[in-house]
Amino acid sequence: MLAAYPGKGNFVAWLWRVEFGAVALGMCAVIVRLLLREAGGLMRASRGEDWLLLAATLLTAGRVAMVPWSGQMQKDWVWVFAVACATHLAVKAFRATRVKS
Amino acid sequence: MGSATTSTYVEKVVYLLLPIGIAFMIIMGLLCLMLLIKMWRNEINLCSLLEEANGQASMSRFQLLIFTLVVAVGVFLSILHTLTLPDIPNSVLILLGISASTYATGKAITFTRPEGLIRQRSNPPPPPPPPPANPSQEPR
Repeated sequence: MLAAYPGKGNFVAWLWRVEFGAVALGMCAVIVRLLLREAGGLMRASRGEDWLLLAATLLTAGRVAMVPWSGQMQKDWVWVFAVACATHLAVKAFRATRVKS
Repeated sequence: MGSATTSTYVEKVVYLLLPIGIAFMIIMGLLCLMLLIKMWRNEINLCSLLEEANGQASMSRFQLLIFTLVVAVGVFLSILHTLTLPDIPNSVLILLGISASTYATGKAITFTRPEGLIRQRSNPPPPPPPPPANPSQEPR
């Protein structure tokens, strides 16, 4: 294995890449497991504005993940996400006001 | 004479830096492995990442977690590919800011209500046990 990395600096970079990648993958696995476990509670507690925020989040996060292949994001994506977040907060604040009265 | 001494000194420093770097990476790897094992076994509770103060799951926290995860994985992959710190686009930074602001504002709205602070019980508490029988009042 070390024959492919004859230089010491290359070996350190290879070790760093393997370690960093393994930790990142492990962290992703832990977070995905947490999301799957909490999905039921999240669905039960969600209302209409929460579903809007979820849809906007998944779409925008998917576009962010596609940046290396699809190029930089346009400003329209940012505006759409901002409007979705503002709507979510406005409806949530309205519901809180209604509950108070 | 002077340049030869300097090159010898640099060689010694490089010779020392290599084992120090490898030892540092091994220690950090072991620490990360220990933390991952503890999180996987639920010895470190991660449920509060998605829970509000009243115990209900929160979509604001969920979207912040998703955005942070996606951007962090992207930066990780870019660093692994180029071994340099990448330039994060302005649009991604703006999206992260909007996401964090939404979380903070949603938390503020939730905390304005008393029911947003009181933790709700999923199961009702068990009834209290009956009082012990008094032997002096037993029916004859």
